[in-house]
Amino acid sequence: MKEKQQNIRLYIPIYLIVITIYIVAGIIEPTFFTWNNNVNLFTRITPLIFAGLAQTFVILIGGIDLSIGAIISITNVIAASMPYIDTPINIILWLFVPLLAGLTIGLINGLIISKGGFPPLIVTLATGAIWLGVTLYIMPIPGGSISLSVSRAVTGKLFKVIPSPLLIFVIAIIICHFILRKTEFGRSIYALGGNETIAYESGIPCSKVKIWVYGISGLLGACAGIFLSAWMFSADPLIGEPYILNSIAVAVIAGTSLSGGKGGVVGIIGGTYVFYLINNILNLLAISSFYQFIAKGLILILALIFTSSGVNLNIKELLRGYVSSKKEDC
Amino acid sequence: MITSISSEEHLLKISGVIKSFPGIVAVKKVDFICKKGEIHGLVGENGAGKSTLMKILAGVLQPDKGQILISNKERTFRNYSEARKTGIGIVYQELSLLPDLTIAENIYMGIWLKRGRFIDWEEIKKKSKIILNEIGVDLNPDELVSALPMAIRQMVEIAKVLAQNPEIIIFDEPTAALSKDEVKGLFKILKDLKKKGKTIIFISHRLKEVLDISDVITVMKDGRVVITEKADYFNEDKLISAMVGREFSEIFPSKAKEISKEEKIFSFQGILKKSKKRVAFALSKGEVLGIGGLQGQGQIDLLKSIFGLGGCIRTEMTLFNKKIKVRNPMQAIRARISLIPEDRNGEGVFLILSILQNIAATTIDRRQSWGLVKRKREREVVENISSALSIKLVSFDQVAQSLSGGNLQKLVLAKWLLADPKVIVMLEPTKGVDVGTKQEIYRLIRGLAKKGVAVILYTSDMLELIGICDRVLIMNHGFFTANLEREKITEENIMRASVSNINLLAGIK
Repeated sequence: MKEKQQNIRLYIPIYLIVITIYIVAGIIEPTFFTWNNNVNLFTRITPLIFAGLAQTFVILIGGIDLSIGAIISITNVIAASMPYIDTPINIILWLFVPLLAGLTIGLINGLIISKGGFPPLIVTLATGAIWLGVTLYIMPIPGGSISLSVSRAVTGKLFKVIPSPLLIFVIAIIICHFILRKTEFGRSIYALGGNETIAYESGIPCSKVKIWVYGISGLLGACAGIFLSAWMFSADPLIGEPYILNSIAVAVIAGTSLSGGKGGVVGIIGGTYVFYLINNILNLLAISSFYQFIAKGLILILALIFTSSGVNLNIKELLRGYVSSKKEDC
Repeated sequence: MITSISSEEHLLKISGVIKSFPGIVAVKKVDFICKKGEIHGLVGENGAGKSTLMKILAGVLQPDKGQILISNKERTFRNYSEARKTGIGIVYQELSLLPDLTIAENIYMGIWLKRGRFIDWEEIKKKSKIILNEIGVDLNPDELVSALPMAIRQMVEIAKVLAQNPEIIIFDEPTAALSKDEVKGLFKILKDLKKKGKTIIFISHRLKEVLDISDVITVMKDGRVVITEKADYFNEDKLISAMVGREFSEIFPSKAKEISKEEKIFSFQGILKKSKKRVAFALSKGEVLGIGGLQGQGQIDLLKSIFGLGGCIRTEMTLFNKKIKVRNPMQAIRARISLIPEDRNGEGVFLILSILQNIAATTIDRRQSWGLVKRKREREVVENISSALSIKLVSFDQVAQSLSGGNLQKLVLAKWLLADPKVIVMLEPTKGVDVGTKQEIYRLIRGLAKKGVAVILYTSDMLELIGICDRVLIMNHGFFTANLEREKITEENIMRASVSNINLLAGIK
């Protein structure tokens, strides 16, 4: 029980920030609170949530995945290149071919990193470049198409009430949380991120875990790519690029430590919201684009100060120490 | 810099200092007085507050309350660099050198000598060499620190502090990583410094050393000063009873009465990579086997290879007369072999993970079904083992780095006991641990042996070899030069086998 409380406490700051920004946005523009606007927002944040989840897994073992952008692009292109006439077999193809591609690319990353012992930063930068090239070879300019009914199903509402994107990303986060917290594999991820030498000497199959973590990252990247194809109705070979660094930012704002071993996925929605709400507000205020970049950067740094592991905890611990010293009295 | 004062005056006076951390008051209203030119020994169990007090003196930590008077002037330090300017230097237990820089760069780190606006490297190198010569080491200041052996690094560390020309020098367990000869060398340096009028505060767990070198000794316990007296007043027994309220003879549990040689439970043979020599040994039931000798004779390599971590080739092991194959730690754990690593912080504990995650790490796979961790069961077993070892903790979810040294060592033990070992290899299990915890670990070792676990102990502490082991193998240049049993395990025999000329022995054989 205590563990849960602690975890919740860790995520309070990020959601407080989101609520604050949300209210500010609503005050500036009342239509912001409308259901329609929010449904819209759910759709827009979903790809970044997937990318953030992918990055969280990798960062938790102390790695990084710069190929996530290329994975999103290539799966996006593959999804939109599948035959788009509505038959069950086509829908399965549209879903599983990109997933398989994402998983494979991720596993290759993991293999090179764990068997070769190379730094993940460079490896994924390199494989990212390769796959981006492949993507552009398959589809040099935006194009492709997907089935209309599939697109409606993914971006519409379930039973005309629940927005499908909301359902999709909540389920994805719950699954990821479950994997990290309740499974042997999840435990191994934290151990590996905590200290690889000790993890190895504790009998944890480090290379296997590493390979699968990158595999999962690829799989989640593919989810983003597939969702984007349904939302955009077509594909763009460069669509994944902005997700490279944004996914890292989201993971860190959501409370995952870049050095690994600390964090989780519960803050991901908050982290993603911070990103999009800022954009939203600045657009509503009709602020010109260069000021928008500046403001976005500043707000991100503020968000980091309040959320990333360490800062707020220290303040709390200091307070607690002060109280206990008073109590014990010397 | 401190102005010279008459020797009778107190150079340093700490009064009423209080310092608390989350959940614990580390230093409780401590008074501590030091005269100019004395060597002041400071002893106490782990967590007694010695290191905290010294960190406060060095400005690394700030006290909640209390005063620090130096030459009767009140001082407050916001950080180490302010304390350093006032003439306080601290030599840490863990070395603070940067391995990829040269000796000279390390010695003058942060206090660069300059000519105009630029760093005067010639002067720095010259002065580094002078300081190193003063403490009796002849080194090229351009050499990289990473190329130096541990003991020499310790000397560079001392030189680094001396370069700041401090009046008060704190040595926080400087001998933990040193061999007997190296300690002698260090003591000579301390005496030289004393002659030059420097004041030295010396912290160590090795009581004999403290008694040897100190003029005055202060004993701390639970964040308070228990006693401050001239060193002549103390002997080892008196020090220990002041520290823990127990007598020295109670420290080691009694040894096994009878060991039947017939019943071998574990045997090992292999060829040491470094020396290319064949080594073999076996353990009988109930026996605690000690591996001794000077440091760096291949003991660590040998013992780590039992756990599947390199060191030996063509290894063959049997456990209860069955052959076992161990190529990596995973197989070792499956074969029920545990290894308590030497370096607690680097190899033992996931510092940023919770206590629960730490203790459970080796055995997650044993409490799962279909990949799902049985969390209730896990919590149960972790709670059982940590209360059996009486680990002092607030919650199982607190991060491991919040524990004190002795408790961290218990955490490592808990983790490896939970793996339910049939063979347990312990490398320096009591290094940097207080007397109370040491005693608990000794009792644990005896208890394990009694239960039929093969216990193999490597330690550089001779008293430990004599006090706890039923049999001691001495390693010298990569092979065993002596097999000492029971009464034969004496300081003299161990020393003789450790330093004996290897070629001569080989000739006899």
